[in-house]
Amino acid sequence: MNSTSYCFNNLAAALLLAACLSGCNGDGRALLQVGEKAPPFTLELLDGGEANLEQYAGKGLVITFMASWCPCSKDSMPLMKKAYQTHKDNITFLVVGIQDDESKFEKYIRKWEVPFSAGFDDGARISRDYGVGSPPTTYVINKSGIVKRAFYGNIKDKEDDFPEWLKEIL
Amino acid sequence: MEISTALWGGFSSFFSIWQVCLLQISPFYMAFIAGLFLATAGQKDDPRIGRWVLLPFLAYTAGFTVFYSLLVASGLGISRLLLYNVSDLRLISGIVILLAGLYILMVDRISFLSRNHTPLLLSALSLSIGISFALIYSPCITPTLSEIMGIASQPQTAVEGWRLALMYGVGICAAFGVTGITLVLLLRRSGVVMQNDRLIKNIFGIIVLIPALLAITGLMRHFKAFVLGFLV
Repeated sequence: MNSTSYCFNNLAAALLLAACLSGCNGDGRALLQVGEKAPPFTLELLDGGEANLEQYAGKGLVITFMASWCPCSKDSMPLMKKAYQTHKDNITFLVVGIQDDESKFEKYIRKWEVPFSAGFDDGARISRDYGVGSPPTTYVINKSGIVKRAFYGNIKDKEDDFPEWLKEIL
Repeated sequence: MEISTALWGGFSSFFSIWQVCLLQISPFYMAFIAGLFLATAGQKDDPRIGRWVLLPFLAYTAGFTVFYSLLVASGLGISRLLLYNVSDLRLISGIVILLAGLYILMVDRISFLSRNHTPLLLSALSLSIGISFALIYSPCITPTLSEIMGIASQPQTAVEGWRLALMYGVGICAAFGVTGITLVLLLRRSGVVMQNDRLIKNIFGIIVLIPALLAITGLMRHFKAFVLGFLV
């Protein structure tokens, strides 16, 4: 067996193993996609309260997954705050800390004086259900709980589009 | 998006501000490749040393790019399953990296390992390390990657997005390769390093154990928060 086919066989075996492991460990439920209903969640907020999807029914929701160490998360925050000031009566904004140290995330929220709810995804349960691999990831969810938009990356790069996405869920 | 744009996006991310995020894996990859080189240079008198570096590098690239691109292409069924189980897979990856670090430390101490120290074995090890690094890595979403993820997250365009993500991953690996091979050439020319090859190999082996322990204990997120957070 030459080295190329040896490597190819190894790769195929590894892919198969990963597929098996995935199939065995998960419940097989599909992850979140645009057009699907947002999965329910319960999030402990940094201010001591609790947030869950049901309480936002009948109102638009912007949920964004961020980390204190991520440069794009930092860049995204000013636009999020601006959008909150414009739409705070009709849309709920929520920041979820992921892949981070909880105390560092708390400091990050305080430093940016985030005016909307924030919580830390302890155990990565919410990010798993929402299929979030990296921060920042933002979901725009309408009044019926349907995901209308999903955006991966620095929301500042969508400075013109983001306000339009918010209008879609008013 | 053009394939070349994705390739360049991945390559250039290594040499830009986005390197901050790559620090989750880049120093450990350099330690791995340098450790393997010193383990080989110390015991194998093979003039075709390139074979010992090039084959493992290609295997690493294959493992990293395939799994990295699958994790990006969330519109694909297998990608969704991988993402859903990524916590468990990171634990397994930690164990694989641990074994690779121990291999670098032990290869000149255990005769069984020394006898089987061949380019093929190193390629298999590199393939596993490539897969493991792709699984423990959570990338910063560069503008190019953001666009790719947008395409790859939709079931109807997921395959196209996966191809772009594959090329983006190849671009990252090409940058890793250029840097890794440069490092190996520098080590090879350094008299001090070659005279103390066992000691330095062991240091590199210990460095490789760091991401393993971070992934196994779940402390990787603290590493990101404190080390990467310090830099941004």
